[in-house]
Amino acid sequence: MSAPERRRGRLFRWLDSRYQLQPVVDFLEHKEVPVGVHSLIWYYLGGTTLFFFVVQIASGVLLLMYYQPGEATAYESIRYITTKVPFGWLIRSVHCWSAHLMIVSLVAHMFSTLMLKAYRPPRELTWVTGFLLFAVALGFGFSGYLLPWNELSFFATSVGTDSVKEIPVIGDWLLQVLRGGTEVSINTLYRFFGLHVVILPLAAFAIIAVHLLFIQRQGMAPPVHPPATPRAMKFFPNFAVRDLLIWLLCLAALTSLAVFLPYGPGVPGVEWELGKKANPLAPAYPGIKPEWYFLWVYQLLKEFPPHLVGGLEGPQAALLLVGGLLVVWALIPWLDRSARRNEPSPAFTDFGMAALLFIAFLTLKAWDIGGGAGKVPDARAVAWTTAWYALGVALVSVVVRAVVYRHRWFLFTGAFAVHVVLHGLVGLPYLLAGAIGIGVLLAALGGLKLRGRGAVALLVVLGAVSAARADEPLPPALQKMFDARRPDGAPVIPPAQREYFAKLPDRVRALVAEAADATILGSAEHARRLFALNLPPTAFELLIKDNCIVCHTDPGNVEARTLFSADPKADKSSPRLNLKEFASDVHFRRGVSCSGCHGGSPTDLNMTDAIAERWPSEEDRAKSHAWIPAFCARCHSDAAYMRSFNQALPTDQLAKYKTSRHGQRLLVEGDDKAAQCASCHGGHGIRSAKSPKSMVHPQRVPETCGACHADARYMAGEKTDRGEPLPTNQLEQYRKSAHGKALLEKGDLGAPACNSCHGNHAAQPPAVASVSEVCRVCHVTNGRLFDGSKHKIAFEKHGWPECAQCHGKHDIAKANDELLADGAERLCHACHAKDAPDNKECDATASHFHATLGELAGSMTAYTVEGEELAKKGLDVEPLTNVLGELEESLVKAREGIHSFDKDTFDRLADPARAAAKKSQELIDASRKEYRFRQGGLLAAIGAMSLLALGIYLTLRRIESRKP
Amino acid sequence: MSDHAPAPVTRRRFLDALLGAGLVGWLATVLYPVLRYLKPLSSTGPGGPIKLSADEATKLERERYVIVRAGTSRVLVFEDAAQGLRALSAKCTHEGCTVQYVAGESIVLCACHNGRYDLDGRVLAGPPPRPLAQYEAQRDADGSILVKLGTS
Repeated sequence: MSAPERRRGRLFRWLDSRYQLQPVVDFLEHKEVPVGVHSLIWYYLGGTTLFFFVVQIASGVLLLMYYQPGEATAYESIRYITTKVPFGWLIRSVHCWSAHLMIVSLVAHMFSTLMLKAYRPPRELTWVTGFLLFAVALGFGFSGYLLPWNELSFFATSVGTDSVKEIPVIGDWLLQVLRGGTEVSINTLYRFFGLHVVILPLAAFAIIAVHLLFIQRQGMAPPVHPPATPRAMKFFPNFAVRDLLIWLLCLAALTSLAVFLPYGPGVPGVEWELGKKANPLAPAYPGIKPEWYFLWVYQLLKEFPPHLVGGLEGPQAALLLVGGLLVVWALIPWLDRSARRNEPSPAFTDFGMAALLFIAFLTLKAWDIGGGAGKVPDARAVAWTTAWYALGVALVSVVVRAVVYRHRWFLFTGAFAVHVVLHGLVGLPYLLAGAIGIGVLLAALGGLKLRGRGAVALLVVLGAVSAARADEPLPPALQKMFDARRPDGAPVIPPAQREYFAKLPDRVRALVAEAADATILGSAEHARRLFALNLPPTAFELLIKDNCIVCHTDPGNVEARTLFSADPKADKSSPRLNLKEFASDVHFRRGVSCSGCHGGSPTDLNMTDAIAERWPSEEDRAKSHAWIPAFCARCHSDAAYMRSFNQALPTDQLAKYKTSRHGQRLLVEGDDKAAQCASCHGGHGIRSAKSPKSMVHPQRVPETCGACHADARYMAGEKTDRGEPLPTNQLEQYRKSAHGKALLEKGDLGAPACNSCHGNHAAQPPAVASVSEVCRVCHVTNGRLFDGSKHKIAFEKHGWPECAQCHGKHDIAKANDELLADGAERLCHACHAKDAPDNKECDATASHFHATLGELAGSMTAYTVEGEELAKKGLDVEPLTNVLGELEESLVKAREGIHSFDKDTFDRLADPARAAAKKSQELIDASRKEYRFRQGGLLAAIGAMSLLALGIYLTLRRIESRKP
Repeated sequence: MSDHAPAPVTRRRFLDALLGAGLVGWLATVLYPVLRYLKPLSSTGPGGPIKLSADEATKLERERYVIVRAGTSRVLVFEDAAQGLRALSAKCTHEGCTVQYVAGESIVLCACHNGRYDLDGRVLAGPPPRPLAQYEAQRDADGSILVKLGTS
């Protein structure tokens, strides 16, 4: 028995006698890794990828112990894992981090293989299996992303799977197979779950086995030009022990990242905070992006216009491009003929670098780098900034390759640089710049005639497809309009409007053709104007069927005075005849068009007498506006008629208006300046009050009322009930008030506008006695507490307008605890100094209110900040958030308690807030303790790993110091 | 060389100790979170009385007994003609099968191994080693049925 055999011991001999292991051991003992030419680091990347894959499997199996796919359980189970299960946060965080690190390692491995040309014969299939593993890894990422069933994953999967439908022929089928239906639903989750935990792992195991078998059988690829005296390192144990050491380093890095950044680095596409549960009915929010390794495809899809020439759709073309690139990538071992001959192939090195730069440029663009802090990033600025980054990296790559490796082949990188300069710096569209870049490349590759012919053939095919899909002929009158050209040769109806027309439903296009035949649609310019409105098809159908408006939009048919135009200023028509406004009018959209008010019929081809019968003459209209309320009321006071449109709409507006101050002034006193229907609702652009553009939408009411009431000249001579001049500063004061800021700045539609206190159709100024009743509509508790306080009696005695006495009217400022601060600034001071001086009890009560509220509000702010910090550290702050919610609510109640002006009542109301503050402090203490435990655990783990790494390193040195 | 013979042994021992300690420490830091993760959280369950749902009450009326959940454990609630409303643990003390009330014989039976208990949960026959835990069941004024957990 030889010495090594003796060393192996009895177990090995037992196994060997049964399974003949000795030949395997002999093979492995002779296996070597070439050294001395490339940095050895490139040979470890496959191993690190495998290591992260093993971590994925281990952590994935652990997650499976608690994860429950299902509409009511998927999100909840992940939440349970991360917040309740001991170390569940760590397992999920490790799983997520390791997934990303595996992709990083895999991509680095693939590029190093490309750069070292390790794919050359006989290792072509190793490259192909590696490429398949890359595809499987992306599949893992995509399918795993949906499993938490949160908002981000839901929308990202919707967008990601949606692009599949652009694949020619099988797109729709594949989309439905992927989603398990036409939409992303819980069926999609089941399918992705199956894919993620069964199908892809099986595929990965099989392909990894083949990949490793190939590597073991063929050994690691030697350099293209091996040194004169090739050196090698034994795989076992020298290389394998180094592998082990690197894996330990990877594990230490992974654990540290998982503890310190449990939700990822916070970059879009590299974050996994759970957020809200997926809700298919919730609207999508901005900033939804796929994981970082899909960002380049996501951005490429954005760069392509919706439609390209020849009937090719933009997304289709983008996916064809991506598919083509991937096919080329997979076939590199056969395409790279130089490497096949074991010669250097700098062209493919450059191709790899250019591909990397192409992907990196798109990824940077997808991150909106340099796009500013605004909600919508400035696309031009993004292109500019990212172009500089891309050019910088390209330059470094070229210099390094030229100087260090003496490469002289940079055509792909050069073409990429042309593309980036033209797009990012010059400002050409992405595709055009890309086409020019490719043109430059093809010109430079002029010698390769075959490829030139291929490009020509492709163009011919595209042309043929384009010709085959040429548009159907139009009726002659309409065709004439589409053929019409401006003096400069450009078509009168430009491509955007042609496209709009082409997309209209057949029946609407037929109506357009009829209008053209009947010459109501009078000219190409007329048609352009109508198409340019870009109306939804149903609205356009209403418009084209109404002869009145069609005629009155034709600049060649009616005079400027009666011309409806999208740009009245340019056409010198009345601003009241704004066509865009008219097309948005709720009456028009509901089918009550011109004839509804003016008389006549929409099918009339000429003006008729019926118009003069209903519509007042110009002379009558100029005299007074008093006819308007009754005119509108013909329909709006007719309950039976209005029911056919909107049952919820009231029909008592005229009756109320007659009692209002406005109605009285106009209808009784004959003051033509008083507001009537059109003053507040407009004329030809009346929208539903729900529309944010409506003049009576809550946020626009102050501006609408202010149009008269803030105009000092218009309101000159108007008096209040007390006979004083009516002020015109209400709008200015309101805008600065708490109510104005809430409504106009924060968009809180529940905040009161003018009509909330004054009424709308029955608008009146509230009298002193009823001011507090108006406030009580919303501030119920304050009113109730005030009614039981001693101030109630005092205020009544003085005839003060309760709430307004302290808070003001139009300029009500946001109540602030500092209004109760000690000193002359105290709100109470103004009245108390005059009417109840030296009342020590009052002062003490106010001070008590101030101190208590200050302390509670301070705690609330501090705990909220602390909670946010703890959440960022990955701690479960849900219980704290709930308690802080209670604290906030209780604080509001405590503040309401001030209106009792009584210490005991106030304290009773403030007690729940004190309890919530105490509970918050306890929860924060517990979370801090948990975080310290995590840090301690990490320290212990890193310590143990360092010890082990040191041991392995010293063992390695001992092995290598032995004489061969 | 022979002069320095003891030195490598010491170094090797040190190395082995270092490797061993590192390995044990590392395994501990990996295994501790994993084992803690794998152990399910103890389910606290409802501590107070449980109230039978309408469906459960209907089943009780129809079949004379019903098995309800109390946290992670099962409770047999039955109404015997002679002894009235009763509640016992539904988990047989032999091998944990779910027991049933047999109205005709006024016994509680575990069908897995023919274990028999009387209506107070005491073992009458068969392999069960211990009696079933007994709970207090009562009908409220409004007709709803409550089972108080904790032995009566």
